[in-house]
Amino acid sequence: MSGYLTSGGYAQDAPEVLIWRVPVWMNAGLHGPQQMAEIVAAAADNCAEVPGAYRSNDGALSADLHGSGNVLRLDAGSAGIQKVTVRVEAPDGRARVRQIQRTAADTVTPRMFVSLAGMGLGGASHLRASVTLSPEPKTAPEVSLCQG
Amino acid sequence: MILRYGLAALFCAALFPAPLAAERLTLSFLPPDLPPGDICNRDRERFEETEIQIDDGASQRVLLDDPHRVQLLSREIRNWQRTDPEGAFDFILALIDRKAELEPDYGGTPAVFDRIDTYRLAGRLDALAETGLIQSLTDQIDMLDWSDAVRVARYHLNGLGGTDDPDFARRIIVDRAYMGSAIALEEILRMQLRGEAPEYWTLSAEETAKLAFGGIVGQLDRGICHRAERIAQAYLDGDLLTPDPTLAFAWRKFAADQGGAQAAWRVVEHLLNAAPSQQNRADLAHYLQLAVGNGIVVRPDLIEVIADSGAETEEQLRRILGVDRARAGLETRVSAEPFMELDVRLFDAGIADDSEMLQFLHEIAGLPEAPAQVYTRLAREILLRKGRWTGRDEAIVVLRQAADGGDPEAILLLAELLLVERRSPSVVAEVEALLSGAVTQHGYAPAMEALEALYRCKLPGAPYLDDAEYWAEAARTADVAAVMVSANDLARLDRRYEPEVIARLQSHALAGAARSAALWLQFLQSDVRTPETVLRHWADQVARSNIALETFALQQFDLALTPRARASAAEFVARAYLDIGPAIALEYAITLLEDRGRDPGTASLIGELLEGASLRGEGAAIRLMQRLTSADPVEVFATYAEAVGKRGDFLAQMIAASHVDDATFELYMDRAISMMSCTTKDITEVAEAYLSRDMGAEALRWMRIGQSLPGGHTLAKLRISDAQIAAFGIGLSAAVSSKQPTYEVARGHGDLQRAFYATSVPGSDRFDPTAAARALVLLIGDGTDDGTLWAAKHYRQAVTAVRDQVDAVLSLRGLLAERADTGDLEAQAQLGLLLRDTAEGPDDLAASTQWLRLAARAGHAEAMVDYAVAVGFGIGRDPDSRWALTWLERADAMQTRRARDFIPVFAAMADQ
Repeated sequence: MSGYLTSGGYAQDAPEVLIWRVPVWMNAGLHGPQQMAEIVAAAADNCAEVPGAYRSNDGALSADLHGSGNVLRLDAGSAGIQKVTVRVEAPDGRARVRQIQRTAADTVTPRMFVSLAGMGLGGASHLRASVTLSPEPKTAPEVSLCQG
Repeated sequence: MILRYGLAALFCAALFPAPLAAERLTLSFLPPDLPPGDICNRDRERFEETEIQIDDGASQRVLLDDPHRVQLLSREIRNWQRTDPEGAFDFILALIDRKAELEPDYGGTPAVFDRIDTYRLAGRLDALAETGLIQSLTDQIDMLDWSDAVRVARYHLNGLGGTDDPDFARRIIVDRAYMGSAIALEEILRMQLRGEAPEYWTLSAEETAKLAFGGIVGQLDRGICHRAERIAQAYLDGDLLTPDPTLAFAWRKFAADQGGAQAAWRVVEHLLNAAPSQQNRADLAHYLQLAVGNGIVVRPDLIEVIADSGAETEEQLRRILGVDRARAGLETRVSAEPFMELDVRLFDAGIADDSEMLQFLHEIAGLPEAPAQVYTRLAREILLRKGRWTGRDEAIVVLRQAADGGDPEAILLLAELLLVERRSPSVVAEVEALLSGAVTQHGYAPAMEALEALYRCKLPGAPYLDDAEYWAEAARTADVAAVMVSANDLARLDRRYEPEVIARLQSHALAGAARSAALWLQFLQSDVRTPETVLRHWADQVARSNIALETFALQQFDLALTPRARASAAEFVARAYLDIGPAIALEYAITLLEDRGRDPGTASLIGELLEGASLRGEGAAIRLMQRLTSADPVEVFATYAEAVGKRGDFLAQMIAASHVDDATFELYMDRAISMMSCTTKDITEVAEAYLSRDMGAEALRWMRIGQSLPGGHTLAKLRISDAQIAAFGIGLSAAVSSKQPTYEVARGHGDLQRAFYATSVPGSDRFDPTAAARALVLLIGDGTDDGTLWAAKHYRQAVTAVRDQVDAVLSLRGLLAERADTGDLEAQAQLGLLLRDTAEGPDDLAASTQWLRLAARAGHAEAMVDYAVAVGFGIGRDPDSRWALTWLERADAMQTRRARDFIPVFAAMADQ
């Protein structure tokens, strides 16, 4: 499902109704909250510019995140994203790192939505997020901030 | 074509075919009546695998020679074929090639069969057809021996041969059967039972079976024990024959008498599991001696050593097994123990730095096709052999390879080892990435729990509650956490009141979780209606896993309620120890200590076990040893300081805290925290370690971490489990609700019963005899049978303060007597017990026994047991143990579990 929702096909021609069959034996919780968060964010795809967000020289995105319900949208153009490492840093230097990796069964697409939930660093209002993609795309990925 | 009737001379002690069942044959096929001998040990070859138990590299021998290398390769091939033939496909073929290089005899037909099996098990049937492997065997089928030819025929029967010619396969099988091939005859018997035998096969199923099993027995050569075990298995698995454990035992006894070590051990197990009245101590000693003398346990190079020191070795096993103890009474529960087939190994107390297994794993990890799990095993072996701390750097290198290869178990271990450097931000970042990657990529739930522990306990400055709760919630959502239930709670789990716990236990057990399998088996044992086949299946599952076996064995001991049951459970823990090895030495020592620690001989054994565990860096053993001996803690630590530094576990590092310099203390604390469980117990240990060095601020921080644990401090929960707390007031299961007349009544009962439970326990904060009595009175007064009888039962168990207040309001005796007079059996039984429990004189006791008699005579099964107890012990009448036995046997026939508790007691009294 995440493969379809992060595909170009969905971005260009999203259906009005989508029926998703989940086998009863499938435990979606095993892969943590990220999978479902990505599906929700990708389905909505309402990533708006966040006021005050800016990109530093090293490509890191700085923004006021207002809580931990935010999602980063990464778009590598035509290249597929297999793995992302996100580092979120508070102004006082505290940092959290999370790695999101597609499973062997996932379809690799150019887009990935990364939930920052649980990386709020104790309510710090201003966070700086940097991402590392694998495989590394030829051009820097487009990074947007969405409300999750 | 020749029918080899000559075989009959070997086995015809008894051969009585019975009429055919639908799919099984009932056949009484006894072993030949031969004098004891040593046939199975004649001219033993070094490469024979069937009778040799391979030690998991726990010995001190360091040079891996080719014969042992071949054995390990064989086992590796089998394991991968069984567990992951598709994922490890190329690796298995590489192992087969390697084995073929080392053993020319294997390199021919046997290797071809192994390759075919690998393709088949991996589901690569088209690729198998393209290899032409089966065709190559088919082309030379006349040169193959009988069993190989039949094996090829089976491929064709199953459509694997690339040709669809089942008639060809049947002809091959029938031809070999006429030649006297046992395996071909067995195949034909199988066809006959399915109704698919060729028309030109003219013998009946019974005649075919006689020839097949006679052929399996075959010649009296050293393979006879292995073949006898095949027949024993046929009588156990129920595939061809109607199961008959007695005949299976007879075949094993036969094999043991002919020198079969494994069979002798099986006989020992059988005798250990027998009821006391059927136990033959002389037989037990005899077969134990045979098992040890014939080399159960060990590799061929140790057999001679054991033979040379037979008496000492046997004595060692006797001590471990505790077989000299007097026993009385009987088992009280259905038991799966008789179905456990365990191994037995001898091992050294210490651990050598090197091992054949370590060398072997290095070798196979060097194969380019090696799966990631091989690297993980190699890393674990390095940590075991060299010590967790001295081998850490080497293990990390190997684990990185395993993690890159996609083994989440390696990722978890790597993260734990890296976390010793938890003060380094770059290391922490790597650990976070590794663990979160294991979750998102591999769906590895333990990594979520590790992340929760990282943020709650392990990072400097913890707890970080937002992060910890995020992962705790994720783990809860995944719902894969092990079901935590104590042995006692497990034994009385009620489908009506704890359906979720039971369902989760079963699901986890079916999914292969080792500990859950053990708990599930315990649950099954608590129900006398559990079929033997079910017990046998789960016993087999538990016996295969060290973790499951350890869990099960220790719970058996916890659940033992009588001296006899305790002795039996202690013996079983001993067997588990012999099977698992040093990993449960400490638990075994604790069991011995609880069971018979005051016995000087046992105390000596406990000392040996603790000494070994201490040398392996197990802090709990060091601590227990110090407490048992009251030795100077400084001296005790000095004795094991090197072991602690090299391989000490969490508790060992804690013990070291007050004995080392500041720099070492900091290192040891980092080590301990990297591997700790984020639980009340470990957190308290860490806090106390800081306190021991007057580091109050850190101790306070750890106390705060303890406060942050979900559900609060363990000690604040009384004896209530998290599951019980979570289930409070959520409603009854459908099974209960459907039996209630109305929802309102059920809710009313539930509330009152809960109120009684909450207020009737002396010593608890909520103890309130007035409230408890009110709940009982209301239940009695609600006019329903259930309410009154429930109240009567709990009134009997209540303390005097509660009873007095109930008595002040109503006469429970009177109410029950009114109903008993109407012929209400349950009321009669309850009244009988009430009179007995609250008797003030002989008249009450006589009346009690009369009511129980009435209920028993009318068919009330539980009353039969209670009446029998009264009769047997002479409560309210003269004692008569024979009459008591009569009633107990009636109750037992009605599947009343308690009856079995008392039968041996009164049987013994009757004998006197």
